[in-house]
Amino acid sequence: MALLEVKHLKKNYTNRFGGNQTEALIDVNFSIEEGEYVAIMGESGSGKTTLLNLLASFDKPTAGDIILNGLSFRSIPERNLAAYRRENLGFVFQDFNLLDTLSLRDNIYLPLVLSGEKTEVMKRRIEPLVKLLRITDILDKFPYEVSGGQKQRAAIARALITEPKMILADEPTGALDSRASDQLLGLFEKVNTAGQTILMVTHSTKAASHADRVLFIKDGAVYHELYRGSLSHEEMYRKISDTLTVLASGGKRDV
Amino acid sequence: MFKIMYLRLAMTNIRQNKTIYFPYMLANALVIAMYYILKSIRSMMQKAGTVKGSNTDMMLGFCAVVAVFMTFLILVYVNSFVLKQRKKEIGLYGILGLEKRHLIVMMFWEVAVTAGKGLFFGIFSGALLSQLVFLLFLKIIHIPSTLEFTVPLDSVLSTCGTFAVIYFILFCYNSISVWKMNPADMMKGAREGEREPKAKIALAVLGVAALAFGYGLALLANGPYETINVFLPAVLLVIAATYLLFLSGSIAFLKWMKKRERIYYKPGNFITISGMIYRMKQNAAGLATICILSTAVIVAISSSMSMYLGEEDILRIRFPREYKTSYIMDDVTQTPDTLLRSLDKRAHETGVEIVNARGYAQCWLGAVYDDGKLRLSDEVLGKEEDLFLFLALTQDDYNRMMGADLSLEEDETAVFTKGKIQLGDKLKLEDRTWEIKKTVENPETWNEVMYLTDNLVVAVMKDLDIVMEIRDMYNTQYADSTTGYRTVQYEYYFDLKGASDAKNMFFEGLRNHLVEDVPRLLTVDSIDTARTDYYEQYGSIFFIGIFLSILFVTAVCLIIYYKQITEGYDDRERFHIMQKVGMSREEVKKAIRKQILQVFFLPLILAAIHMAVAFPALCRLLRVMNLVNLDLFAVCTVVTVLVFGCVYFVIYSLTSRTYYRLVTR
Repeated sequence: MALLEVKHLKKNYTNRFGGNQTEALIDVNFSIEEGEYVAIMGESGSGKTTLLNLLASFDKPTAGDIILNGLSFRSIPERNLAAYRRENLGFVFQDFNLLDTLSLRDNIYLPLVLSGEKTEVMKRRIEPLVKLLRITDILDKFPYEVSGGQKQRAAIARALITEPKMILADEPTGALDSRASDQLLGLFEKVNTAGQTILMVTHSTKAASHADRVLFIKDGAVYHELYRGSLSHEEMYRKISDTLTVLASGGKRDV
Repeated sequence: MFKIMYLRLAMTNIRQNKTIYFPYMLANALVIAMYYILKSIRSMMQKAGTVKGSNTDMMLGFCAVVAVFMTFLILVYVNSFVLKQRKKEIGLYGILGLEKRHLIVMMFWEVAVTAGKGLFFGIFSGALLSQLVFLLFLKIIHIPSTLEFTVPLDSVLSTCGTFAVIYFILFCYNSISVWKMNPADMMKGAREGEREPKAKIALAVLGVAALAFGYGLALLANGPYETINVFLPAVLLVIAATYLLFLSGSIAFLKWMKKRERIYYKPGNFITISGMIYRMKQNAAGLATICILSTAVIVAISSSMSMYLGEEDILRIRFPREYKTSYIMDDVTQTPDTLLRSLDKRAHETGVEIVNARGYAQCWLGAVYDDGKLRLSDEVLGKEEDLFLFLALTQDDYNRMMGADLSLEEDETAVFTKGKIQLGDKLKLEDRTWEIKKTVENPETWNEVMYLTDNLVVAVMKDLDIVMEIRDMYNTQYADSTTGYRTVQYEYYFDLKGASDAKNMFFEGLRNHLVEDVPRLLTVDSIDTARTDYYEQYGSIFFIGIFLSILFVTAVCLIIYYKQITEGYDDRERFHIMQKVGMSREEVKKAIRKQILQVFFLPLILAAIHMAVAFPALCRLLRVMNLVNLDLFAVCTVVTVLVFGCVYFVIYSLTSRTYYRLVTR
């Protein structure tokens, strides 16, 4: 059984003045297996942010369902949603979203503290993570004292420390320079190799070329799908580029 | 052309920054209205000539000075806040090409528009309200009056003049700050790099020490005189301590909590402690100010209210009858007959009858009780609990007053005692000894030093000779000391029967009448004149207490409001992040609410503690002013604290709404 199943997902936004509805997602279907590394690509306005918000349970779909590990999002009561999100999903954002009042260590601890976890558990879990992400030395610094790449690595540690079923990454390289981006993508691959499922939304071809599978979204639906198979990063990069060109020029087409 | 453009720019700016300008405008109008009301009341009082003494006028004048000072501080605070919030916007103007001198012209118009609106609405609403407040004031000081609507021009002019100066100072301040800014700094605006504040342990320790010292002074002071001497230093110490504790003590404490992992890594505490450290840094001065102002309001209102309400109690003690006369008896030949005859003559002339009379000769002295013996003492500054008030009366007077039938010999006495004293069967005063024949009831005679101590020895003696002997015993020792010599006074209290016109006629000119017959006349007083004086004096104090409190509360309101706004802007981002990381909206809201509640109620709690510690000292001070009814003061204090707490809570809730709007937007 797939880890994540997305079935006939539909999301309409009602215009603020009533009446006119905008269809952000029309009919999205896909599934992700455990341990997969999937990238979702699309231009701005294609609906990828909407999709991510739905997958993150920040927002509710108009129709369709999302099933994570056999549990439908619809069956989770509103008040348990935050706790469910905290325990099952890890988030990495473009702008890091670290709290500037907390040191990096405390930022990483945040989800565990909120779950009422014991200090011993927190300490045990942070140890291998910070070693992997190479932020051991800066743990007691505050977000405003470190670089963007270091902030993003702390954010990844925060996402991983809950041992989530899946990592949702929203343009994780968006605010980083190319060197830091490369480092980050390398880390994602490492983490993925260790068995972590990752779903990344991006419009960077380079970032997407590191994934096992790339989904293309256009006009509120999954338009195309690419598997890496045994391709190298460069070959994958080219394939994605070609697809994007087709997407930009081509007409509407169903999968 | 240019001028109009800047004016228009200024107007737009004010409209655009409604959230911060509206309360500023409101505060402007309010303080101006209050100042105008005070000025016009003073002017109307002077014109009406209703006040006999210049006491009230002087107090109103003093109040106006304090009000100007307060107002100035309020406006400076709010103005600098507004400027800080607008830094970024002003920086943008700079980048868009406005030179500094242009910015200053713009600033000028902004201040001018604010001042103009403030003065207009302030004086307008002040004029509407002043008549009502004037009536209220007259009611409080018990002066009957008729309603007539006037707007004293001199008050309008002096209000405009005073505030023109204040606004000019604000304009200078703004110009200088604009001049000193550079666009890059301005663009960074209010959100400058926030470092985690350092805990300054030394300052925190100093704060605790100052608080302990201040509290100690207030609590350990002995007697009213010492209390008066230490009160101001104690207040200053506590104010300093409050600032130090808020500035560094709070941060030191929070950091200490942060180091305790078991406390820190709990869902409730985690967000609160880390957030509070930052909040305290930004808010410490404001919170300390709120605390001091709150304490000031509580002290001012509770003590002036209890003085005002305690009026009848105080007068009852001083006036067991409606009228009082007294004279000094130098020797036994000066019998009260002269006084009584003179009074009777006056009563006969004016057609009233003297009833309910109560007269006695008394001599009061300070004494120290020591090893079964009383020693005379001029140590009125000494320890309250060691000092005794020694009152000597004659048995004739006592028998008449109390309906007793004492018949004492030369070496005998009858006593009443209060306080820690065991006389046994002998009364020993210096080297004189009397046998105590009987213990009697308290004759409840009044004297002007009753506030000094609760310890009392009343000794009833055979005759006036012995009372005078005791007086001389004291005077040979202490006549030259700072407390001066003592006298035997004859005090005569009585009521009158007759028409009220006749009573008034009797009392008017009574002093002039008596002084012809009685050689050493001391007091001629009536409860009515005393009451009038009392209400005028304490009514004015009460009014001024309320007035200044409203000003203080305005200041507190504004500080809270602007704190909430700053925090609203800061917290918005944090609020979103926490939600994304896995806190529900309710959890986040709860965490933030807890934080704000703690921050804003901390000053109130500390104010209540200050008040509790100051209470005994205030009691001693009020006793000097004859307020012996301390239950009343306690009730007044509790009521004031509760009412103030409610007002504070209302202010807090109202401003919190603005805050939540900012955060959840």
